[in-house]
Amino acid sequence: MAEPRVVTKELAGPYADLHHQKQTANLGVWAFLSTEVLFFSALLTAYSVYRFLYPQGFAEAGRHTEVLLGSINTGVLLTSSLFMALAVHAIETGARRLMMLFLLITALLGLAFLGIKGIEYSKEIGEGLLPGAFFTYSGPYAHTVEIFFFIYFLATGIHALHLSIGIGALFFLIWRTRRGSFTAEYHAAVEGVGLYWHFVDAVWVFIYPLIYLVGRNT
Amino acid sequence: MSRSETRAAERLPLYLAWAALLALLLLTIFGGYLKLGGANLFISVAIAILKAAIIVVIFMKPARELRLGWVFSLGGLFFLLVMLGLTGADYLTRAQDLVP
Repeated sequence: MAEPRVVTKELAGPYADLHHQKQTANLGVWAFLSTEVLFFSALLTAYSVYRFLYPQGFAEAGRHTEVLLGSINTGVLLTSSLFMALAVHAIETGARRLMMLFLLITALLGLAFLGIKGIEYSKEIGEGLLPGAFFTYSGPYAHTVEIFFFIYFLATGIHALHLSIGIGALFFLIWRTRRGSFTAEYHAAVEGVGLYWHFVDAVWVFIYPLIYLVGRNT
Repeated sequence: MSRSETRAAERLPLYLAWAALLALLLLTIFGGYLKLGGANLFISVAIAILKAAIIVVIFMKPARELRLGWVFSLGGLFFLLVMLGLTGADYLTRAQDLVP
């Protein structure tokens, strides 16, 4: 006969034990992320279609993005993913304080990313590249440049929204860790936020070359 | 091996993955400025796929809890390819005179 289920404050719902609960939570996050892939693939498809239709306009528009800031930001985000992975490893070994430190570094790198993105946005808006009433760019490809920057602001804006949610989740984890919530056995939430953070990083890995490197070879 | 040595050994793939990701970032910047015509796009997308694969396999570990995680991680990719494939099949075969 199976061991009787020991109810603790961590163990919820229909789960046999903490491990069972963690497996379920992990798979749930993966299911959520696969729907997120579909969400971002709509943007990627729109980008691909317009780039195929208007190659010259996209090349011209791409040269107006801030490639240095975008590249630095990619490095910042990749580094934040390392610290996120280190945080999950730390709590797996029960090192709670070390995990908190790594989570804090991850969140600060996320904030740095948003700050750099803000500098980029202000430069681009200043140059009249924000589509709509304030779009002042002129030239033979002005219309397709506007399409490019519409996709640019939409894709990077939605990515930044995802990252902001991730930063909020990291501070929530830090707050819960301070209250002593997580242990080597109970940390499904840390693992879940980690998966989400890496996913948002992986999305940026595709956004980066498509936005910043288009048109650099001419 | 002592416990701390085991933990350090477990962290090593994470550091190596990070170093590989930064190296690939430099490679993709460099590749972006080479005058290769249409090949630039394929190189940069290939590098992006490799970077994403490193992030998924080493940082996210789809089979960390259940091997079923692999199905979920590849499922999104499958439907992304369906979407790009079907949309591409449409636009690639349309009359081109809608380009201004």
